[in-house]
Amino acid sequence: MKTSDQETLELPNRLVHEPARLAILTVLCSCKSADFVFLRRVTGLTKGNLSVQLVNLEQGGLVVTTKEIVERKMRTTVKLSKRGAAEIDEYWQTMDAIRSRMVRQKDRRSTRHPAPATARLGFAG
Amino acid sequence: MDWDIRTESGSPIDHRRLKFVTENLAALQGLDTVALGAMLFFLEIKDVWKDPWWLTVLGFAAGFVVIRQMPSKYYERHFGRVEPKSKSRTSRREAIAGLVGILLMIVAFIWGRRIEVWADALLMGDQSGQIRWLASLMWSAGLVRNTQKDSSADPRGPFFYIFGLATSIAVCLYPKWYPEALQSLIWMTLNAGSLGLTLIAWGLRDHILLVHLLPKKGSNDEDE
Repeated sequence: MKTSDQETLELPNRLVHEPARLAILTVLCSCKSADFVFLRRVTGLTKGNLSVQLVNLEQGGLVVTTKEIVERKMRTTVKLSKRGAAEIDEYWQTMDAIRSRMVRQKDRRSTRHPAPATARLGFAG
Repeated sequence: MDWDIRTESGSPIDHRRLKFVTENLAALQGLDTVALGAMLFFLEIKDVWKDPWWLTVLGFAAGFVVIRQMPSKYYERHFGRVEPKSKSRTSRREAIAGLVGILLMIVAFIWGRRIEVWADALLMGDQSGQIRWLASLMWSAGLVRNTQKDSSADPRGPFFYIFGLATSIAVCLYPKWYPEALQSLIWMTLNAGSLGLTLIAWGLRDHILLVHLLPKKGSNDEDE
């Protein structure tokens, strides 16, 4: 995608960019692994929604899920894969780049079209 | 990674909260500290209350809760489990600070009374050594430790420790203005059980913070 000043704009990974998945990945970035109960509690997602998002992330190779039976109950443990860690790092770099570009464009626009003197002085109308 | 910038840039996800809870899940499980504090409190005030049997029973009940690790099981069932990241440089520094803290606690338990008698004589001229300053020292240490931590997800933390420190100092200094308080049952209970009350307050605060930081489960949701 090209912007008006012909700079290439890299888009963030859609698999990571979705808010629920980004929340899950943020949690997994801060620990070695977390179980399903904690992920559900900390993200506030419903059981069904969290399961779907985890399946999507696992299919995308971003997380690794392990299931084990502890005290006659199934425990699902999730951890970030190497690819997942790299993807989320790249995601934040892309977001940083987009944000700094937005700031630059805003600065340029304000120098090309400065606000009228009355607005700069804080007069309304 | 500077998470604050991302949060302020308009992202709907509160990264600071997610990161803080994930990294501090074990530290925020305060109910075991509450049980330990209750055990200490009941055992400490036994002499003040002329050693009634029910205080011993309550002390042992609280000890039973600690030994059976009931709070840990409760937290695992309701809040889940997190395996923390491997030790970083910061956490190593925290471990050293924790070790120093444990050593100080051992010193305080062995020579605590002697230090308190000395401190009382120095600060208030109380030769009987009745006033207990240990809780004030603990609140001071807690305040120092809290100011060193990232408080972005817990901005009220320093106020809690300042309030606790002020309260414990007020309890210690109260007999300076009202010497008859030394014979008052309420003051004697607060003074004798100050260490246990401190632990109860810390544990309750950690637990409330954890519950506050984690959203409630949906009503149609069941545990896994």
